[in-house]
Amino acid sequence: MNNSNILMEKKIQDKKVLDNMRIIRESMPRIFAGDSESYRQKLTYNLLNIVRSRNMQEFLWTLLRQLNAKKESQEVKNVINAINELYEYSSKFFEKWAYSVIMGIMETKTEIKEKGGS
Amino acid sequence: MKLNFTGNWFIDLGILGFVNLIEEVYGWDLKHLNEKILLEENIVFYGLFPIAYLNSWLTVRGYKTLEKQTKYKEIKSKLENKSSQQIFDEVWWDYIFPMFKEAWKKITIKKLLEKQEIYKHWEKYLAVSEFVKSLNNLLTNYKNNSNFKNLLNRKKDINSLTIKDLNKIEDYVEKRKKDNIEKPFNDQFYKDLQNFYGNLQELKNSLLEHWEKLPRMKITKIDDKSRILFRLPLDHGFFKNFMFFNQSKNIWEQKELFYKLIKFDLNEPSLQKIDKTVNKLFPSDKEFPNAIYTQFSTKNFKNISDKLFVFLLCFPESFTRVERVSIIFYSNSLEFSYLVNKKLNITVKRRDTAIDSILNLTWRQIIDTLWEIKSSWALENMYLIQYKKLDNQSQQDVEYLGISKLQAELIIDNKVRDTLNTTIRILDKGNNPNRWLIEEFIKNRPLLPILYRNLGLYFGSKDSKNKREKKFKNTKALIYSAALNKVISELGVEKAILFSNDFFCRKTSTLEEVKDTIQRYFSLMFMTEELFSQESPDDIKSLAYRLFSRLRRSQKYPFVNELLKELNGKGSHSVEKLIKHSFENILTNDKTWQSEAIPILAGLIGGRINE
Repeated sequence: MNNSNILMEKKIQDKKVLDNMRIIRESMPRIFAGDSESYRQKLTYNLLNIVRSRNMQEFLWTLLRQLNAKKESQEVKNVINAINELYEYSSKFFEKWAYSVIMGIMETKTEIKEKGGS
Repeated sequence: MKLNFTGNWFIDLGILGFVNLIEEVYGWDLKHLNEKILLEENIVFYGLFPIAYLNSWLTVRGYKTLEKQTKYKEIKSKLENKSSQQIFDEVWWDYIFPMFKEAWKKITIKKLLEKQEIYKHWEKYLAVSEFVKSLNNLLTNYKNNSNFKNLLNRKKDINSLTIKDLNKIEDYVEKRKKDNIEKPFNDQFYKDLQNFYGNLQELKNSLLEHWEKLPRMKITKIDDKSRILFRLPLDHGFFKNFMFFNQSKNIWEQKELFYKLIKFDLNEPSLQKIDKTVNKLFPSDKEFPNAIYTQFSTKNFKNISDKLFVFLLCFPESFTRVERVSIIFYSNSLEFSYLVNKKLNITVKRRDTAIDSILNLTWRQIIDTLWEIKSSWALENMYLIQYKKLDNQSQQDVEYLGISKLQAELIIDNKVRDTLNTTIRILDKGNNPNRWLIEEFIKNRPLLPILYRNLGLYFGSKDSKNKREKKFKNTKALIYSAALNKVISELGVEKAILFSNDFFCRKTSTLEEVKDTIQRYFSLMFMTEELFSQESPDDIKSLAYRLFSRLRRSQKYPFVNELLKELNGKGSHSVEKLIKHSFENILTNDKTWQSEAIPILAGLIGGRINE
């Protein structure tokens, strides 16, 4: 019984983590859609370097500074909430949400291109 | 009665042994044998079986036996419409007894050479006393005679003679008689040798003479102590003193015991229990772990198998001897096990293929047969049992390997099978620098670590590009292994827990899933290759190596980091897809992300060239 409870709890947690990661990744392209491509590339590059050194403080600082400029949007609120939730769970999820952010930003570019093309 | 597996491995292997034995002597395959048993069960078990068994006993020990071809028809016409006892009696005296003439002669003389005094009371039957006298004469007067030593190729003093020595003496005397030898020994020695030779011939003649008379002799006319002279010289390392192998049983007792064994006569104490005496893989009667609850009595087996002891006797015959290991394949279908073992046997005998390893050879037979038969019953539990030595004293290197249904189900697919049927180089030097993937797979070992070691060689190699790729690269195997690894590990732990929800949700066809995954991996691989096709080969190789070293060390996030950096700034539809893949299958996937990362690596190494 005990075992299956633990198993169940872990499953619920995994699901929540995954949901939040999805929210982050899916919101990013809409948040950064207005920025230029080279700007995003530079940002991506910076964030990748920061996450590689596992410096969560700096990552948050860099990211929040970006989001701060776009605070009126609902997407930003969603992202902040999702990061908050993951942050509360454990710091071991740092890389999970950090890379979700980066991937989201990287995917922005192609979305715009396609829109421009069609 | 029809031969069928019982589910008890020690009986089933015996049944296989029985089929092997009959096939070897009479050339009947399983189907034919079953037909014969249906029509004439008594002739098969009381007539053909004892002949075949003892014939094989003699053949293995290098004695000449009866003519093969005439055997069956002749025997059959003689034995038709007779009772089992009559059949057995006739077969015993008309076929088995004459077969043992040479063996009896040789082994009796051998015993005499080893222990002369026991045979004192045989003087009235054999011309033995003169022989012993001249033997003692040789051993006392010439034990350090250099001529005698030369003749027998010995360096030390001669204190006893062997059968081989007798042959040498006989050869010498016979040649000398024809004056083929130039330099004679001194006269007295030669005379003594001649004398010994004469006595030996006399002994041999009298031995044969008595052997011929034996069937007409009445046991009661021979005194107790001398009866033992007349016995089939049977012995067996596996059965030791069981029934008629017991050295103290004479030929009449042996006959009775053999009959009882076939009949499965429960009044005979030796046939009442199954333990170490009949199979060296069993504990002894007292050590049986369930002895507290019940005796392991054969009574309970009477209904399962009427010929239990025939099969137990054939147990050692079921194994195929490869190099110095005895090996057998066992599944719960008689037909299938029979086919696999037969193939194995034929291959071993033919010896035209180079044998890398015993296992390698065996697995190949199993896989080939699985492939040929291809039906679902072949996917039942399969085992491989092997041993190096099995007798009273030792059970050496006994191994019992199971082949899971899952692995069998997967390799039955010809693409999976063909792809894994390859040898991968994992070491530059060393004893066994190669691994045969299919063997590793069936043994349920993870394939990825092997491929990592192979890739390590690929990246570390100082050879030219072409040479390096020829030696080490096998992208197809890489993709297949990754897909198998992924599907199998996802089936793993949780879903394997019996009666959990997931257990019942287990996909019905794992193979389908593997195939889908393989397809997905291939398209991912091609896409990656395409995406980087504009870069310089050196850049690609360096990136591939960096990704590989992350992968090998199980560093997921550094792997993702490395990959994203490379993708950053490349704008294309493929990049989007790759990022999506990295998110869904690598970043969010803690269990099988390595498998999912492999197609990307394979694409960088260059998959298409090898396809």
